[in-house]
Amino acid sequence: MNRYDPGTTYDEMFHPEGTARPHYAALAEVFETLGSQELKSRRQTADLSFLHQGVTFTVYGHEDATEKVFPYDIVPRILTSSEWRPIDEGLKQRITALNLFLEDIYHDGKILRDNVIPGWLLYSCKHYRREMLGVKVPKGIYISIVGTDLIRAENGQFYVLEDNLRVPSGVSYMLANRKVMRQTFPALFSRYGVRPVDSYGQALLKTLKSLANTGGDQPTVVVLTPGIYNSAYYEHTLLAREMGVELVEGRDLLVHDNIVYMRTTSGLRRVDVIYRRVDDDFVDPVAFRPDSALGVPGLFNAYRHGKVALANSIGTGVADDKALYAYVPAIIKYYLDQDPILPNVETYLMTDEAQRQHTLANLDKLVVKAVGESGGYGMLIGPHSTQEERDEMAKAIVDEPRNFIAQPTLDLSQAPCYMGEKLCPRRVDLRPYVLYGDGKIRIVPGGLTRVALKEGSLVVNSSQGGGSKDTWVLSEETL
Amino acid sequence: MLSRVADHLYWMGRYVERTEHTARVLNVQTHLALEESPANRGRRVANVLSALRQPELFVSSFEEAATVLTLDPNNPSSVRTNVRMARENARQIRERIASEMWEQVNRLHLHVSDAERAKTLLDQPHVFYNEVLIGTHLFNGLTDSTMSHDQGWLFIQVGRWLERAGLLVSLLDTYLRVDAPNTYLDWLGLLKCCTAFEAYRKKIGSDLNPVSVVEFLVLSGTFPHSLRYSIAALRKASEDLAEETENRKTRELDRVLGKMDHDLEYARAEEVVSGDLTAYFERFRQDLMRVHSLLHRLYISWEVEF
Repeated sequence: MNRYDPGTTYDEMFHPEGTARPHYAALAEVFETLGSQELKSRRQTADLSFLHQGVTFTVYGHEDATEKVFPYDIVPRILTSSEWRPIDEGLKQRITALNLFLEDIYHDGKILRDNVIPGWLLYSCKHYRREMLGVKVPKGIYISIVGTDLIRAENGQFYVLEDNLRVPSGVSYMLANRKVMRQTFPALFSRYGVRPVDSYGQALLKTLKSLANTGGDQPTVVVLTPGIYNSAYYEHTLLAREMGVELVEGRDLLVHDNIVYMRTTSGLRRVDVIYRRVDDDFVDPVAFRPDSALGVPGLFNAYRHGKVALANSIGTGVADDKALYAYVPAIIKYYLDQDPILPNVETYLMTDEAQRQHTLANLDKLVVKAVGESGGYGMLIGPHSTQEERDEMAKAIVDEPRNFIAQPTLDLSQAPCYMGEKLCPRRVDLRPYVLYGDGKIRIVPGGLTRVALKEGSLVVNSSQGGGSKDTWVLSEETL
Repeated sequence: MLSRVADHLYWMGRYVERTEHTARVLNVQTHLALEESPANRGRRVANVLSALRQPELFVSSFEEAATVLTLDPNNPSSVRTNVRMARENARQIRERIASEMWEQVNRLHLHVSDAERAKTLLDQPHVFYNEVLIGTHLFNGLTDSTMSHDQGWLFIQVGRWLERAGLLVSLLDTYLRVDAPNTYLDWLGLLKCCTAFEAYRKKIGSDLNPVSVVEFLVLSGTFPHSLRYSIAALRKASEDLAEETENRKTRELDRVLGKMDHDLEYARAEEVVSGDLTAYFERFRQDLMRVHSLLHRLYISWEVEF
């Protein structure tokens, strides 16, 4: 334990001089008393548990072993209730404003007329869907399921790094981590008042049911998956099971007279709400990509007629475009007349002459991201890049300025991870999950703490060698 | 229940049953071969291949047959492939089966794919096979005790009993064939392949002859690895399924199953043995194939009408 050096980065567990922060004291004590032999054996038990549960994800482009056990770390990340409160409030504020924004841009476009956001920026978003113009979505809710990525900077303050408003994933790892951690360190749970996350499935079901226009008191909800080859298939199955609803593939559904049915062993059965884990482009081959074999022909029309509810709606990706992200504080101010509780990370737009020049001159210090991508693809981390990569990126930026944004290279906070036989600092972020139903926003206390398991790495995405940690939010009484 | 899900449950049931059967046949025959003259071993290999419906497979020794039929990932009938297929089907319906069931089939899959463990197959085959057998029993036990006995469970049962009946038909056909010289070891092996040796001795005694073996393995109404018992269980599961899904188009399915069931109920062992056994078993094979396609048309690939 003495060998752990927090360095100059903000450390979740230790003060700069090396003593544990108060809410981590009990954890530090347990790790010290258990000894490396016992920790090793607990780690092995936890490994086996993940393996047997088949908690896996798929890495695209690996032929040999497509299914991988999701890497995780056995040291929990702990947040006090006072750290959690502004996150909870800030996320509720943000999702409310973003939902109002989506409703506005697909109807009246007031925010454009008031020149808060330039129209060309909006209409050039990869995920803007003209087909959604004027569509009245069930209960006026576009984004029911959101995963927002937060990071903590040197000053200890949380910032929003990006919003995921299309099909955010990872919540199953939050649930699986908790299940395994309860078995690994049962005693710690009784010492800490950890707020439970297991109600996520029920909260999700309630949220989805509240969207239904049809089906009366007992609307039929389904989860639509692209199938077992999707990277998040494990999660789709888990969510369907937690909610006790059918997990369907496109081929299980059919649309007749704008009503959606599923093929069952007792004939056709009407579907009222679809939690779709299929991207916009693939949802309906008639309305969008005609070569999609994953979608359901006619689904979009049924949706447009209000005969089925979709979560999330179509075209929500426009609001998590990385260039539009820079405008979110303005969006919150515009619709709610409030200052954002959770600040944004400073962002340079490449379409702005001055900001672009600044970026091109400082590529070795900045992080450049492609606006329409996620999962850590299409990203340049200046300080870790080669001259060749920077030259390539500079050319790409000049060619298509709308396609990129730049941000300062953030000193993400770190948390100790049990690597081999000792604790080592690794960078972390936090992705809480927000559920927006009719009249109620629910956030399960916690979320997924993602870890850059490679030493010195700043990229936490699972597709780029990231792992996860169980995240404990403590109840009010504890701290 | 989704038709696609029903299909996966059905095949999961079939593949688990096939895994169990293949592992048991290989376990029994590998050990019987140890005490046999080299001349006889060739015949035993041929019988095993025929009983497991792989007569075209070319293997020269018992060890080789055991390896190919157990570990070869490219052989569509190996134990390993059967487990993988059971797991693939389970994986597509993880949210429909109990987590305990998924974990068990996943564990079994890891077990047979593990290269280290595979070494025990050559050293101590019974250790390897017993673990597979216990693994399948555990899976079946979990299926019965952790899952609601509603239509999902019934689809597994239908798959399981249909598969067992089909496997028994191939096994019996091989060992009761007129040209097969039937030694004491052959009869013993046949009974053990059906976990029937002890039950047979208790019920019938120590005398091993074709009529008694048919009496027990084909016509017993109480022994769970007999053909009659399997068909009756299949019929019962199929009827429960029709009731559960309120399907009213099952007349033909009911007829085929009812006829098989009654034929077995009223048959006499002497008549079965003195008749054309190959034709007798072929009829069952045809009927079982018909049951499979009727089930498919009733519940899985039915046509939509508006």
